[in-house]
Amino acid sequence: MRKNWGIAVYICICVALLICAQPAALADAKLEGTQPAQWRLIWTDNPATSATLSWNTAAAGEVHRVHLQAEGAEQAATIDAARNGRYSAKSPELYFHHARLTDLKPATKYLVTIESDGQRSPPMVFVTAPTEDVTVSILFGADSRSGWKARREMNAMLARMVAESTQADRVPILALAHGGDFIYSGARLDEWSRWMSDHELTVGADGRLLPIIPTRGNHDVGKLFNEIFDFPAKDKNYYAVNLGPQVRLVTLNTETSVTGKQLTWMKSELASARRKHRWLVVQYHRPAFPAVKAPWINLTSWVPVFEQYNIDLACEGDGHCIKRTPPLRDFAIDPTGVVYIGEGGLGVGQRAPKAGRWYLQEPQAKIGQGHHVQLLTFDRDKITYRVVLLGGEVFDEHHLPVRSKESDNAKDPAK
Amino acid sequence: MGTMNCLPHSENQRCGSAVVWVLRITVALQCLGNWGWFTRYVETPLLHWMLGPADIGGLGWSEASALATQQGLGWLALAAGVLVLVRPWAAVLGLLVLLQILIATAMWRIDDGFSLQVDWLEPQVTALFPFATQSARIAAPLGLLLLVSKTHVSSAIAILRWAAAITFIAHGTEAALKHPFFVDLLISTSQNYLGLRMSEPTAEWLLELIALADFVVAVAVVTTRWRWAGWWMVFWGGLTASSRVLVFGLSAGWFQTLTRTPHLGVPLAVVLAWHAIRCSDKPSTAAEALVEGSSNSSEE
Repeated sequence: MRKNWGIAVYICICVALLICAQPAALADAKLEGTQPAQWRLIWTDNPATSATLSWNTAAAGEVHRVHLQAEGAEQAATIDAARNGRYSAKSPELYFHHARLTDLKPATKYLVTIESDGQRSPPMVFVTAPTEDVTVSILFGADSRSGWKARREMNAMLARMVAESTQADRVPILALAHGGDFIYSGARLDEWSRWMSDHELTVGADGRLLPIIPTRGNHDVGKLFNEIFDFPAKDKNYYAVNLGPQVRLVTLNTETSVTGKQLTWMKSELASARRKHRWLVVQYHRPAFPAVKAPWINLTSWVPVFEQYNIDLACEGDGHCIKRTPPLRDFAIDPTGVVYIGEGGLGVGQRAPKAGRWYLQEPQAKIGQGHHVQLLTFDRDKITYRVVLLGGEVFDEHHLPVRSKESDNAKDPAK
Repeated sequence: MGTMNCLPHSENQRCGSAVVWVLRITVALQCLGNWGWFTRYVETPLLHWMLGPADIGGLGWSEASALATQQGLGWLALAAGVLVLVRPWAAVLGLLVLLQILIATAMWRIDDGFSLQVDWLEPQVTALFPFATQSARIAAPLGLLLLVSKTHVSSAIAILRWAAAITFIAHGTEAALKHPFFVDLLISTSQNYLGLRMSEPTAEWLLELIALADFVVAVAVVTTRWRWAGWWMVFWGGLTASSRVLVFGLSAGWFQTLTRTPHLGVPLAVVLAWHAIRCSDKPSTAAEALVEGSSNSSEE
């Protein structure tokens, strides 16, 4: 038994040494008192009529609110933050504030200013999603977890893209669907703080906020994710939003059970959404048809459901490369199948995709490397998919035609 | 523990020899699994640590350098595994211990594996969890190294006991915290092999029972010589290791299963060691029996 105690003491010493060997936390973003900072506009419900405007302060403060004025309206409304609190991480000391904006008008520009204890943010604007069947664009990107310099450059590029999209005869970019792996160590608030500061760079020179539709990635572990994006404390982070009346974006979570309740919910959601929307898109983090890594278990549990309900596009992250597969069904290339895109390039170092995989063979597929974001434009006839590299070059452009009702009926046994 | 039936000295030697052979086979299979992991599957915490940029604690290597290094380590592991079967040289075993520590270190540095989310521990501390989950994999070559050195036999058995206990506590903790992968493992296995659709709450309830069993046997293996606890660890370690093949299929799961061979090999070595020493309460006598057994097995 004495020997056992000796080993126990040895283990404790090793653990203590390892803790001491951990490098000091990197400096978080500069925050002072109750000056609002690290703002983000979050879409997780109905973006035509609601949004959550969130921000952080270094001190707890007492009065946290948002001043909101629709373009053309005479009076501004003041909305108190519905949820305030200290992040559950012990350090750094940081406080979140979430103002839930409801009863908004669709396709309307809002002027907004954040106020905490009398200190105000610069004036910003955001635009709600439309309820008319008009052409819309969104950005999809993932893996901003490392490569901080590139992440900031990408964020600045996103702001420029959004500004350009608001010009006449261009299709406005509504939001950024983030496919997960925001940061490296999800339990570390210092890393989240840095990400939230960097996310401010997505706000354009005209103060336009880029709404974010967040997905949990394998690095985004822990409670902080729900605190940052105003999910309920134990929420599993799968949900769906309408980006106009014809585009349904379903966000899934590869970091909770993929075969349990989420699968049941997804089947119900896809069955309902397929009948109501022209475009049905899913986003999640770990890929079913990866370009670099091995398939996640969603390959066997989710892919048959995607095929059953004929989703149009699956957006994936995690691989750190650029990928577009041909349409796939029953583990073969099939014009009626599902196209898988993404793999993540919002800052993370890029990997070499495995060109030998059957679903990555050119010319039907397109793969590559480089920091990038996917620009998806939805009109009445097609989805236009573009991969925009850091610097603005278009690496890949592809069109997905709208599915015929006949093919939907043929493939959907529920009909 | 109390007095039991004495075994003849020759049987003690056979048990001692069996302990060493169990560990030799365990380490060899573990090496084969590591080879498959490093050279075939490729995506490992070690690779991600080497690839990761310095801003998040990575080594910042190029993909080509990282892949080449990992391939080299994979083939070295395979060669070492073969050597361990032929003759368990201390130098080879020492390198294998370092390799397993390196894997755990990489997991720690890149936050790989299950995230322990507990309010009362800092993320820097919970990031060390891989050293607990990997303890049997580190202990298998380490225990064998100490056994064949013939001077630290008691320490070897103690390390194996503690490693088995820590591994079960770590995995029991994952089960108690309802590791999503474990939930999917139960649901998928139930559906694929029993034709039953298990609900998520049922899977979570089963995980609570599994966690309880893990904790009980972990405590028992270090505080008693209750052989049923050891045999349960052997059974459960084998079942959970082989579940990777059940879920991912043979082609994608074999190396995951083999990498986890220590989860049954280490407790099996402990149980056999208890057999060897069960007729004596004197550690020195027990150690002698194991030394003699280990001498015989390493000279074969």
